[in-house]
Amino acid sequence: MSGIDWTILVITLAGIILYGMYKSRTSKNLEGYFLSDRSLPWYLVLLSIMGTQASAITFLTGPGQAYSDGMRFVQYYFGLPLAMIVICIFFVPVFSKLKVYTAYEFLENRFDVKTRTLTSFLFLVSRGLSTGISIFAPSIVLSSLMGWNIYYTNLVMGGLLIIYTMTGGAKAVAHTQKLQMIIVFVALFIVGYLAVKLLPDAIGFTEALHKSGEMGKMNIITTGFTDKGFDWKDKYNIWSGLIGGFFLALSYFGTDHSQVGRYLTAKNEKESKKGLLINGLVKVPMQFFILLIGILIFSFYQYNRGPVYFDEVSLTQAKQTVKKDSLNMLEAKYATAFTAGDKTEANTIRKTFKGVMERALPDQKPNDTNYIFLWFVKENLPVGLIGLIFAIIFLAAWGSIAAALNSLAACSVVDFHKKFFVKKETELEDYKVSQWYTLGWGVFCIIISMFAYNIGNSLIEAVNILGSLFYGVILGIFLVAFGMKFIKGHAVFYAALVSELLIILIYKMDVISFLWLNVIGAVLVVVLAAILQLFIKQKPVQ
Amino acid sequence: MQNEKTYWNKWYIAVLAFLLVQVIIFFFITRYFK
Repeated sequence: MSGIDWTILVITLAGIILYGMYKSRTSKNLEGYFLSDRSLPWYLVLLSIMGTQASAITFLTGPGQAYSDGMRFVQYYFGLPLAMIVICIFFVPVFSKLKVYTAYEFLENRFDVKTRTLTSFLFLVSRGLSTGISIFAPSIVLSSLMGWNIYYTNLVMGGLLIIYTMTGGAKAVAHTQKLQMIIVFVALFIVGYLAVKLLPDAIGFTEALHKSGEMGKMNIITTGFTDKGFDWKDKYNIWSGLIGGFFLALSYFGTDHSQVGRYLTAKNEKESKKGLLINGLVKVPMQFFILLIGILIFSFYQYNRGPVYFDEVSLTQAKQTVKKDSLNMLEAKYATAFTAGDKTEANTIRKTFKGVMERALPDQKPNDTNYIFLWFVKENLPVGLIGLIFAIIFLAAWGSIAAALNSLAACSVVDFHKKFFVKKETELEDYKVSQWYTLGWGVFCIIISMFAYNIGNSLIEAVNILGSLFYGVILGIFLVAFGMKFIKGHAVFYAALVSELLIILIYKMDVISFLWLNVIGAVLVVVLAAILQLFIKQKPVQ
Repeated sequence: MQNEKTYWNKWYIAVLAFLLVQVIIFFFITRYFK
């Protein structure tokens, strides 16, 4: 990277930290620190919700996913607008009326302490681990591509944001996310524009889409049906997107405190709802646009020869195994097919190549999807813009990590520290202890990211699945709370425990795509809690 | 109260309608570029 790129990268990151510290002024109590005094307008809530969901991996995976598998990934977000409506009707009014600090506080009002504590604990475990991985995942891509030290990259990715998150709490998080999202979108529009400009003169935007369509990449709507009926292991189709995506979004936005904590900062119920509903309007087009960049990059590489595999570090490792000759032979074949203009053959060879890579490094589960976007940026964009694009990867990571640290600290302080350990503290003591918890979670997540390096790529997938293992059950508890008034604490608590074990068992059996686990987990809790409640009711009569 | 309910119902219908329009457009784009 050139000196100009480094300067832009450093200035952008330093600017965000300074801006976050400038916006750190808030009331020195729990409401000020964790909820920004419940004072934010809808557009800040919206950008905060979007900034929390869109992590660095969103911007790395999105274009790479479109390049490898086509546009069908956008269907994954079809259930989100539906979930926004359900959350506005059922969740927001209750959270707003009870003036809760965490989503799980409501569960004590509705059920009992043990259900609240179990749910908050499940959240802390899954969110704590996944935040560690959301530091590591973009760091490994950047360090592999640029030859940076992984430990220093982890420190910058997960460490610097702690400065403003610790000092300014939810207010600093929301204001920095606003600026981050603006920078991210401006930069992505420039990349989209340049990707079209870099195509050969005779090839315009529509021709590029036609070319991608011929290769099966414009598969935006797919049904999941094959000659043998519906494929339950097919990850992305309109049904898994609408139904599975709905349950995933409902559990994420309705019960994950890293999101609930964002719309609790709104100045009233109306502003929370507006932020969520506009998120429901803009999310699908936003993802469509991110994927479209991947399609344009794919078109670009139909006219300019790119590498057959974009992760050079894994490729070097694979070439030290017995698969070395196969890989070299496929590379030569790919070059010949490309030079001969046979793009279909070249793309088939790439697929075969990926299969050989997986067999060469079975423990690492190598996947170059996350490397495609930054490879294109590094090799083809002008000086200055490269630094900006690398900066947006950090900014996107910071936005979601900052919100996660804020929510982890909120649940630790409100659901555990003040509930079980120190009940009487002054407002200032509450405020200070909250800052220490934020720092503590920041350090914990960095440690997880450092350990993740030793385990490799497979952990990224494992932690994505980890979310699905817990989300459905947590959602089930909330669905019972909102919709089944006759069910009480004991029934839902034991139903949640049994459902969690069953979900892990179903996952181990490997019979269904992980997206469906959210649906199954939620339905299991609802059904089991209803059955258990009948049994518990009958007990005193006997 | 009724006014507020009507106000939010309009929002919900708008979000649903926009999703439906997008799915229809995506369907035609998929067919057009096949």
